[in-house]
Amino acid sequence: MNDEVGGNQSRARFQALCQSLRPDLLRFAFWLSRDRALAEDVVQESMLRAWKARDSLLDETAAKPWLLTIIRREYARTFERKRFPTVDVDDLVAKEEPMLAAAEEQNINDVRAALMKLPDEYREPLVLQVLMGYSTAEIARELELSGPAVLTRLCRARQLLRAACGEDLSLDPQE
Amino acid sequence: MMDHTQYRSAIMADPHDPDADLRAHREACAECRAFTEQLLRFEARLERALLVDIPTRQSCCRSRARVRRHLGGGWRWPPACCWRW
Repeated sequence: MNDEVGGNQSRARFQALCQSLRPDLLRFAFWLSRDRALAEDVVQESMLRAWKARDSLLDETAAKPWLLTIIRREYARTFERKRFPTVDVDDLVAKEEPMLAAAEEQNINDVRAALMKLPDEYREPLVLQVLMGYSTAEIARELELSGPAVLTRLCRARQLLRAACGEDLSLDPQE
Repeated sequence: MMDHTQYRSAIMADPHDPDADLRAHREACAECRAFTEQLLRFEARLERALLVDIPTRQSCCRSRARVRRHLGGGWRWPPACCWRW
């Protein structure tokens, strides 16, 4: 009886925790995959994996990075399981238009279109930093990169994005 | 003393970096201050761009079958359509 009550409480707490983090997790998965349906599948599978591995989460305050790591691994697994057809990035932008079109201002949509075209190695650390609030050290740990490599990628990511959005690059550091 | 290239490379990697050397350079250099302001305006756009809208409910229940398969007859994880995002 007590076990059942404890189990119910544990489930409820875990569910509430995941639910509170879900928008962030889904946004992260979306920018990882650039595909809403795939992002939903990845998050759903990740939640199941997280539930099964919940005993390994010793500190609930570390739930977000723990879940983000599970999502990154689950996303990688989807590529191991099946080979996705190569698609044109412009088609991808058009396909995701309903999700992207929510921005009222054109300049926000310009940034989103540029983000969709940004290579993975630049987009992922940028999303971790700007959307998830990761420090350089945390990104380095998550992506298994050195600190300087992360800084270089973040700098390059912003350069590419700003160039794609027609920003004035005259004051940018020269390579 | 940090030069312009070092400052701009560092600030492009993290526009909100509170590092004291970066702040000192920014306060001493009008051009790098202007660059930072330009970069922070773009950063605000970037932050908003990343916050894509999340639908409140999903019409698709295709995950439901998979969830049931995973969990058998026991507790079921609510399918995506039942989540409050």
